[in-house]
Amino acid sequence: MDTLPEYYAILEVPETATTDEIREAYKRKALETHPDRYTPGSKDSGINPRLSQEEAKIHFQKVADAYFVLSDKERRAQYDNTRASRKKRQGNSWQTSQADPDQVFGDVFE
Amino acid sequence: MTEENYAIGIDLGTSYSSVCIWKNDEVKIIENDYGYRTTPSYVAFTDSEILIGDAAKTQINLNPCNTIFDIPRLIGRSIYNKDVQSGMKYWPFSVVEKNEKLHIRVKYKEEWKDFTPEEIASLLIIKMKETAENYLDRQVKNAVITVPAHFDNLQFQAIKNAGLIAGLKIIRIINSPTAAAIAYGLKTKAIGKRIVLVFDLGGSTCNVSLLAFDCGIFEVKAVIGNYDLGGKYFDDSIVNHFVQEIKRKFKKSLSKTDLCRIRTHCERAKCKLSTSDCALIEIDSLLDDYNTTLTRAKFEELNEDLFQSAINLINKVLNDARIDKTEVHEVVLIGGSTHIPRIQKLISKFFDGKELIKSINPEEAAARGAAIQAAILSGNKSKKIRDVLLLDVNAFAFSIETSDGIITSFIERNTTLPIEESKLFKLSTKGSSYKDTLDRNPKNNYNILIQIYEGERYYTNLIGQFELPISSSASKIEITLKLNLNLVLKVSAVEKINGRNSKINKKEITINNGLSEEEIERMVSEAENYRTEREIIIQKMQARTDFEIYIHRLDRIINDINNMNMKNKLEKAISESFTWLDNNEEAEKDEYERKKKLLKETVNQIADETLWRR
Repeated sequence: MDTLPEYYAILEVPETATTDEIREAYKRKALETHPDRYTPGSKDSGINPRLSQEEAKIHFQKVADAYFVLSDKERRAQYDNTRASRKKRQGNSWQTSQADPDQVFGDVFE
Repeated sequence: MTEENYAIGIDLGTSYSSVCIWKNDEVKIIENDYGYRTTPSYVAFTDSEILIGDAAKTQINLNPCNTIFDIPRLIGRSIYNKDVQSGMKYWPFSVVEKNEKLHIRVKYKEEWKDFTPEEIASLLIIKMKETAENYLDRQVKNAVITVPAHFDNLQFQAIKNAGLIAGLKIIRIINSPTAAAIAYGLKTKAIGKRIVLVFDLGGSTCNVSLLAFDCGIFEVKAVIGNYDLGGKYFDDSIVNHFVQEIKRKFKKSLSKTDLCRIRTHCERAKCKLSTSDCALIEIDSLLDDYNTTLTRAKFEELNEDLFQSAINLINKVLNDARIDKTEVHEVVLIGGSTHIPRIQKLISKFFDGKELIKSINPEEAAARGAAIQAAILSGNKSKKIRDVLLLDVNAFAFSIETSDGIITSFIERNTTLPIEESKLFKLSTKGSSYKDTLDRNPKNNYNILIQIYEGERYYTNLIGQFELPISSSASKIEITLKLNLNLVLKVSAVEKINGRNSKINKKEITINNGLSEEEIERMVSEAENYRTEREIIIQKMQARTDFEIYIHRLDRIINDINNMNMKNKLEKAISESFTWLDNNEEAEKDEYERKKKLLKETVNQIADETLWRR
């Protein structure tokens, strides 16, 4: 559940992208996937025309999440750090890149 | 774009409403039957009919207890709401509680009747819908509607239900400052990214939206609203000031009618002070024609705290959006109270002397924005709006409380819509007392109570709850909140066994404001009745007018008739008709038509006779 999302890939920008480039990518992606703009079966949108409105919505939510994190310096830095350290752990043949949900939410009910 | 999809834009304001359409590639405000571009948000009940808009507002002094206004302050709220309670002190109409819901009690056709705010709002919506339909000459089925920024989820649902009752599908609800921003943004067509703050200070609300404009993309960064701020509260300060003065000088207490008149004069003085330094307040037959003056300086002094709290809202919205005030490119003012020079000065000073934009029509901007959004949502392919997209946010946070009393925050304020958030909750297994405290259901399983709250910290409001049964082998539950673009909130919960979703123990609810489908259906049919009644009255008036016009025409013609015999006979017939009209103010449509027909026949007969004899 808690796989770290690939925000750069979602927005189709390189990891070195500037804030302006990220914003441009967000604008483009939002116009393509936002439920107010996406019409199923339309080839105008850059995404798969066979997606349903619901699937496009999920797509847009990912785009919005990516922009929320990458557009803010602090949030982006934090994300980059977490991402880097997870990659490192994977390199050390760590079993999984998944955070244990129990670790995150476990204390809620105790 | 199809007929089915066609949508109009409606701004349902606290004081005024307006309707706007997208036609021939531009937005157009539709004038009402009085020729005005805005319609007072007033509904009145009389002995014989329901009046809406201008007709209702003009008769308020004759019929104060049955004239309803301030609907956005009542809709979707309980009678115990702080704002409702404060409004009840001065609303001349009575607000009552019935079946645990707020109702407005009025005398209609000499009978007491209770209406929900949704029904009253639906009458206003019907009026706006009809205004558009008369102009377009066809039925309208969909609308985008704007509401004040502080509206919560239950109020949104209530507005949507009001639309249903009026026979309109509300396809989107937007905050009025956000809608105004779209109208402004599309008008200016500037290039590049700009941060725009829209400050909306109206009759009884203050709303602030902060947006990033980028070509056609309108990204809402943060919104905030306060319903304790606005023109009415500035009037209150002046009224209080004078009431104190009168008490001190004349040692006299004032009646409710006196207070009402003082308020009207104070409001006028306030408006005058926007352009002059001093306003004279003269009230006839109040303490031997009471006279006094109010200076702008005194007015500002009386309201300085309120003005300051408006500035605080700007500060808060900037903080919420993590944007510094120096980054704001444009500050747009809308709403009647932004005419107050002190407000303008304080805002300009806050932004280090920035020039404020006052060029957009404050009363129409929101409806224009709604019409643009309506065109987009109805699939209009106009080039002008091809790349326009509103990325709106939610104005309130949501959190979940589980049986153990722990509140987990779920959706933060100002998150881009639509939103979907899931969280896993671990159920304690180590023989903790937690499970023991849960209610056991017949299958020896457990029930977990899930409560949904709106708001955060100082303001939380329970908006829904449900119980999820869980089996003893379950170790976790997953709770998901979905908030769609129409601000419908769905909450689902499912138990997890070994990481898999249970197929049995799962539940989903949609948050609703409590009007059941049956209730809405009943209100829809009642609204139909009112509409038919109104149509009957309109037809009746039309028939009467037709008859009157015919008599007046005859009356003019007979002056040119030389045949005295014929003239006398006609004059007699005419005066009989006039007498009948005077004695039959409330006749039915058929009677007017029959009388007109009879008179016509008489006229023909007279003509035949006299001409034949000649």
